[in-house]
Amino acid sequence: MNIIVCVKLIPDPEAPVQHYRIDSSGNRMETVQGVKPVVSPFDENAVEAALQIKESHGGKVTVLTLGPPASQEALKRALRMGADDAVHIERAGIPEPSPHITAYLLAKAIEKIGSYDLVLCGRQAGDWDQGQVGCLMAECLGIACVSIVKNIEVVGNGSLRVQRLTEDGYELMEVPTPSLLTVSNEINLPRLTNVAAMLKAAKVKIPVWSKEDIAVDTNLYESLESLMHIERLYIPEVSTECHIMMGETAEDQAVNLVKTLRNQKII
Amino acid sequence: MTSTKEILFFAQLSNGALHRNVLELSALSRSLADKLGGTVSALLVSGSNGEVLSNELISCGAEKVYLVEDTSFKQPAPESYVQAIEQVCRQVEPELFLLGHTLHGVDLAPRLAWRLKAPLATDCIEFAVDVASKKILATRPVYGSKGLAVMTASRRPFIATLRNKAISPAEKDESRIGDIIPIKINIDPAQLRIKLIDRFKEEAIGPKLEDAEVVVSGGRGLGKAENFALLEELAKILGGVVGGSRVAVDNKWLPSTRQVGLTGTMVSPRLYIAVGISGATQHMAGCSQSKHIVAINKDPEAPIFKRAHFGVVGDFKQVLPTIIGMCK
Repeated sequence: MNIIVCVKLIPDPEAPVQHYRIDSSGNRMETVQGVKPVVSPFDENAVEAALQIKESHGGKVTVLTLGPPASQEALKRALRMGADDAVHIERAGIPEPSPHITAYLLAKAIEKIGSYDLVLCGRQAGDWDQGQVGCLMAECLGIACVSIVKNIEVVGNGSLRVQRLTEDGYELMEVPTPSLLTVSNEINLPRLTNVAAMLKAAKVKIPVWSKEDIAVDTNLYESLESLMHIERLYIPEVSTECHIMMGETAEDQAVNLVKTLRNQKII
Repeated sequence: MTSTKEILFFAQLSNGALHRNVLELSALSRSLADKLGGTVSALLVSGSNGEVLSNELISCGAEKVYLVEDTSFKQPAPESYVQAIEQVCRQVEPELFLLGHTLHGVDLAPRLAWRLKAPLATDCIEFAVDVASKKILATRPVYGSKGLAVMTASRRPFIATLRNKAISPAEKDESRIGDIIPIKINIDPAQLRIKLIDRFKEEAIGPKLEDAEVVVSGGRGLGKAENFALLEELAKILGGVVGGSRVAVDNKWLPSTRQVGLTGTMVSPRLYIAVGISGATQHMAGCSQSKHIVAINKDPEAPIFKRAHFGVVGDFKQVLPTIIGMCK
């Protein structure tokens, strides 16, 4: 089964708010030095899911990213996990939150990569958390799509059985290929890199494609680009006064907590 | 092209009944319609019971209900739903099409946005109307609520999903009147590629997490599944339910339906007790609407102490038995 996985490099989402500021354009969050970029966590789940399918059913895993030159690091991380190939679409001045554009460019690149059975991506990126690109891409490619999947099983005749999260459990669905799935963290725990994959990864040449390389329709691109506009981006002040319980021991503090909650009629 | 600005909201069904978010969507639609001089409509796609549910939507505040009723919609299959919604949106041309930011809503919204080449803002927590331009301003958290982005759209329909519990629900009023407008749609069977085999419930016994008045949540600091027994005991005494962080779910200490957070359930209880939870932004996004937050954590530097109202710096294995003993 040939699988294409879309990944995104983002600033570590767990970095504290003090390490973020709004850039001079007013449209982008930037981080101060020292915040390390990471592969968006759900995308790592997608890479892991692809590798597991490849290991039990054969095939090839290609990873794809869209972004500035530095975002190749996301591809390299996926290669070190065990992906076979990587493609980088270099971003030329795309404003940050433009899921339609992202989906369109990724879909055009997927068409250029050609023969594939499955496209996987994370349910949402850990920076803007919009959760749009996967389903937008499937519509653009005209393929079946199931979002927010927590298990994938390959059955005969090129079909998949997937479990999709619902509010009170999950649905079991049968999906033909080619198709696109967005995965949630429940699906697996992504592996660390291993030496064999690292040696192999170092030898992979990553082609860099521009908009021109992937036959973008300029009219469509421009109309998608203008759909949304950021009026304002800001970091709100959050100030909560935390009343830390006094007490020599943890038990004393616990007693004070219960007393405080009772005094304030919270319990 | 409609002359009045119509705010259309999607009435999601949950086990055959209106989803709880319908009242929130209706309240938001009303306030925006008033600011725009527009009207509030609901879209109901249903396999049965359409008229009863439509009348309930009118009680919830819809002036018009577009009803697509067909037995093929008995199951919430996205491929047929999206076709139905697309066709209704093309007919109605609403100014704004609102859906709840549920697992169903976030699946439908982008499919629709591509089909209609329409702007989409997901997981919004606040809406306003710019007085001068009459543009709808949608506010959504970014970077795990570290930042807030205010977005506008250049074209109608502006599609948006509303985070659960972000705004106060409307009051039901049985005396409200409205129109039910049946709409016939054509489903293209070639686009129905996914087959639903079965649905499984994984819900714990007791009150639902999202409705609970008291939530006791555990995270990485709990260390193992067995330690959740203490949380269960405390939750039972306080009349609450147990939740957890993503780490707790990833480690299979809890089923995923118990996850509190950005990609789990949004809770807003009277009392939220976070045990061994560091306070990652992804988790806080799901519980920051709680009235009172108590943090119990060994690490005095844990970010949770910046967001909690009451804190105990200590080992939960010592703290919880004391609390349980006093509250019994």
